[in-house]
Amino acid sequence: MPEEAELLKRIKAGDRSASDRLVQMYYKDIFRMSYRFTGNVEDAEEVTQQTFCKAFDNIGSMRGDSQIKTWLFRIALNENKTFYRKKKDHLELDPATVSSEGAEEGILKKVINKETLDIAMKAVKELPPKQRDAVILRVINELDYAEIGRITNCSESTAKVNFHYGIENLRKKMNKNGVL
Amino acid sequence: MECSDYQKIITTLLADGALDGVEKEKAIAHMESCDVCRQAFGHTRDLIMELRSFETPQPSDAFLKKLQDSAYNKVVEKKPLYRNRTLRNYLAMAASLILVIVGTFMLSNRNDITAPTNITKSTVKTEISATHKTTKTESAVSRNTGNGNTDERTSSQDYDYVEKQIGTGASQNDGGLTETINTLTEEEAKSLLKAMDKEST
Repeated sequence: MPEEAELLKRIKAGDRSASDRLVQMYYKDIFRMSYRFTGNVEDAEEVTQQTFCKAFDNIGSMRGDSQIKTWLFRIALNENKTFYRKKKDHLELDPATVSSEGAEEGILKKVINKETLDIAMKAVKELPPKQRDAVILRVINELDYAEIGRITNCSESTAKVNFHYGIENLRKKMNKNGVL
Repeated sequence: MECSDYQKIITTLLADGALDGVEKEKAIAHMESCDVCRQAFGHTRDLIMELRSFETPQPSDAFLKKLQDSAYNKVVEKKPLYRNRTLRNYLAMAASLILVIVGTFMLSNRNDITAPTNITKSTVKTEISATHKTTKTESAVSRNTGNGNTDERTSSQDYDYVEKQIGTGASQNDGGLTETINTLTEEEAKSLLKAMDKEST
């Protein structure tokens, strides 16, 4: 926390290396989360970019007593939701995930993987928003429940309950589709 | 036996690897005696592992550079002099003062322009002869309409000009001048202009 406060102070003072450092620390996490929400690289990059733009736009109001990570994830979650509302087929998958390179076995594995991922992501998409957010933040971003609670504005216990029901619903949906 | 919600939740959390200490022991103890939860534990663990195994593409270095550039640009944009609170307060006060001055000035000008004037035939004559020897009737119209038009015309063109102004209804704010001129007959207008010509020469 003191490190983050120092980083913030330097960013506010216009230190280029500090702002570069902050982006480098979190851009992969934000991108990964956005990729699971949007389903393709281009859109995930767009949402990641919007997240950082919004964050740095409001960096002046960011206080050193709250975690940068939580703050960034909250912005990213909102940006993904906004993007989700704007774009209908947001979970269409990137064709690049099914590459034509490699041996036949590799291709087959990728196709199966892609199909499973497709079904799984569609099932995640259909979850109630709170359950969906908890599942993505926990499974994809591997955040702890306390962090998920802070990001989604609920208690740690509620985040656990949301995750449980999200996984249970997801399992039922995937069983129905014959994936599990 | 139907398991409680709590038992189901801790089973999920155990599969997620999120339990430790007493809660973990409780969950394990429950599963040992409950086939349903044990089975659910296996499925949940498999599902979570499956979801975590999906590869996510890595963003490129070029993308990182782009992000860093745009982030820094935002910092620079947000860092002009007025971020200083004291200076910002002074600037705000100065801006308010300027607004008040400009607003007062504009309002007073507006009153000058819109103030109704009761112009009659005689006041037109008096005004024109006293103050507008070169621009004649046109000056009376332009002063009252506020258009400031000072085109020079020969005296023979003035009558046409007056007629044109009246015909096009050029002013909606002439303080009744249009109505006054409208009441003049052609002869009266001509004699008025003639009289003014005479005075000006």
